[in-house]
Amino acid sequence: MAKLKGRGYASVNYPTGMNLGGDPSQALIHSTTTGTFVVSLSSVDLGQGLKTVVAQCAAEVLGLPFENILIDTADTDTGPHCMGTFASRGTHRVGNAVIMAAAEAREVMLAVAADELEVDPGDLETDGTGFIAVKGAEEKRIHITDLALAAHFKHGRTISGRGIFLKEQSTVVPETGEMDPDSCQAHACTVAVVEVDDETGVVEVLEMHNAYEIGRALNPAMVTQQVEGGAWMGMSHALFEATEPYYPARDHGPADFTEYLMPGPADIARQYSVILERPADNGPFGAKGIGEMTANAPIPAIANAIFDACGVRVETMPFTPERVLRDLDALKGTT
Amino acid sequence: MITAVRMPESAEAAAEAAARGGRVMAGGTVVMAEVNTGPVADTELISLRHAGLSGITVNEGVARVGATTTFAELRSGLGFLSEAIRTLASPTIRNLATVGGNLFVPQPYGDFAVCLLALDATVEIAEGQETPIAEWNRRPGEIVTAVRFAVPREGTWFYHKAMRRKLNSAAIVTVAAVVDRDTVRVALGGVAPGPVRSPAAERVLRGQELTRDVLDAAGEAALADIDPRDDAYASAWYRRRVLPVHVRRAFQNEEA
Amino acid sequence: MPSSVVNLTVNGREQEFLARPAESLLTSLRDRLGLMAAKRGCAQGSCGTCTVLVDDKPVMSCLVAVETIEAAEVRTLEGVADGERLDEVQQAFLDGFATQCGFCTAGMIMTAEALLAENPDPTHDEVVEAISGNVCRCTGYRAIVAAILDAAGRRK
Repeated sequence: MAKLKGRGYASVNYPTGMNLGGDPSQALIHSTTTGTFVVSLSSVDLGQGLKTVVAQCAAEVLGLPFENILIDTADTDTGPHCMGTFASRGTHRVGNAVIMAAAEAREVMLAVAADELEVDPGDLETDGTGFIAVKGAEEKRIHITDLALAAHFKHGRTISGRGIFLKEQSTVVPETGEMDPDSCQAHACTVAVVEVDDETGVVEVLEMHNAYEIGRALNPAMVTQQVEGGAWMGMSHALFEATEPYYPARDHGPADFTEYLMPGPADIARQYSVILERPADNGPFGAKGIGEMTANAPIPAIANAIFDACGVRVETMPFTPERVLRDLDALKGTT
Repeated sequence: MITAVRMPESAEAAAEAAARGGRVMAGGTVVMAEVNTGPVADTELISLRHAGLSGITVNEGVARVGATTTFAELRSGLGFLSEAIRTLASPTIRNLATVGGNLFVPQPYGDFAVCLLALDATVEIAEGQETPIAEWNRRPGEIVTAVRFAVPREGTWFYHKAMRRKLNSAAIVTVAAVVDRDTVRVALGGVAPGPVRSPAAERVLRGQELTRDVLDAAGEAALADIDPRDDAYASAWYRRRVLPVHVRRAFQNEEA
Repeated sequence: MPSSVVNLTVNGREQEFLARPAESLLTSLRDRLGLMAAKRGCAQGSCGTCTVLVDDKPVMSCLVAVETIEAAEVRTLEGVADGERLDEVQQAFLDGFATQCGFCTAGMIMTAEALLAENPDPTHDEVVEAISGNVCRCTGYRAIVAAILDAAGRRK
């Protein structure tokens, strides 16, 4: 009896966003009277962290603390339009729209501050802690809370901005087949290390090493989580999940999460993830989408690792112990 | 649709309630899942939670475990069962699921029933009768009040469960055994509609040192005593194919 | 069919409510008491998103017929924070990015609270076993295990 170790890799490139009839998202931003900047969106945060990432974009452009930003994704009836959060488009489209809206709001913010401080808007800078100050004369400054109050009650100005990002529809050039269907592509590679029990066909994934080139990691911790969570899903799909375990027969379809097999916390692999950045010229601060791709490369990487470990070529998911064992038997001529 | 939940407060009251009809519920881990996802044919549930049927006593090496003792309680109560109980579902289930209830769940669940078969336990029902578990057939309206078994001597209890996941998953193959000089009992789970003994494996092991060759022979012999089925976890083919491996590993104390 | 009056102490407060026959503790918490942290992920006891503490033990609240735990002490996620102050487990989850969609989080945190109350210095494997009944689809579990170990450290 042996535990056979193997290593395999696979790589993927993945488009950001959709083509369809064009792919737009809008954002609106306005300051409350006390300097909280509300970003209104119809975009949905499912837990992938879109709200965090676009708040970072807004804070960065406005030059204000992250805590001054409030993301409001409340109501698709009334909010500015978004195509939706799918197609790995959220960070890219919504991020760009928020940057545009925040840029407009920043202009107004500086214009009002210039009036308050009696200087030219070009003489002002933000220090990232909430103050707008005169360059080279930081004691001449105003805090955003006071500025927002002054804008509303003294100057009659709205500190607000509008943003939209549209990926225009690309049509095919009939003669050559050329088109530009996605804004940019992210790239990834996973190396999987597995152990195959040659008496039972059980495959254990020991390690996954992930490298992701995603333009710009706006939030590296969240990117890492997306990579690891996606890799778990990939491993789950590769080794465990099936709605029709005896396909094409429909027997014994799982009736609950006990029968629908997914790796639990005792079954996970050690993961090592590296983020690479080649900024996309059309992404928010260069960022590309990383939503869907993270489940992809681990699957063929595991398949290749199984081949390396024991010579079995698995071609149907999930790579169950039975499939591996039958193939091992066939290799040994002991079917 | 359930219209009432009875809560008898003694074994006798529970037996009376069960005799009148209604679905007996101990930990609720099976019954409530059905009630929640309905419809169910029963109109009454009989909860045993307050019938005074839990508790573990050990007298002169014989353990009596009340039927509504949870697996969490059993694990702290009887150390030799700790590893086996660790393979049953998850802690949040084990805080509810009971020893008695495990007698009524279908394979490939019910690993503790496999253990009880290997322990040659007796099943005590409300009327005060005890029946060896191998001969016990549940009858409608009957309440199991306790199980009783001799605690195996140290080094004579063997248990191994092969699952698709490392924790919290049903049996592909479960092996529970007592091998103590001339006493050899090997019980198998996951490989037949109910827990089964393997007389064929027992014959191979009796009086023998547990060498690799003997264990391999026992594993092969055990194939004669199984009747495996397909389910969402594994096929009959696979269970038959790996049974000898897991019989051997049960006695080898190595990381499967 | 007639409902029963049930009394429980929930997060330290006495609660009395009407429950339908065979109503689960999960349903009582969500639909009678407005405590929505415990989730109805499967109602079959196979996902763990309904995990709450009953008399200090973490259980699947969807599997508990609430009439059968009359007078029990129940603790849910809503009772963990001290006003606005998150406890160490909650803070560790936030700091460690151990929550994404959040659906498993309430169950995970209650499981962790029970674990750390009984075993304040758990090993990695003990944490893994403790959460083995809680399914997570987003994180791949590593950050959750790390957060629970981190919380144990913060409590020392």
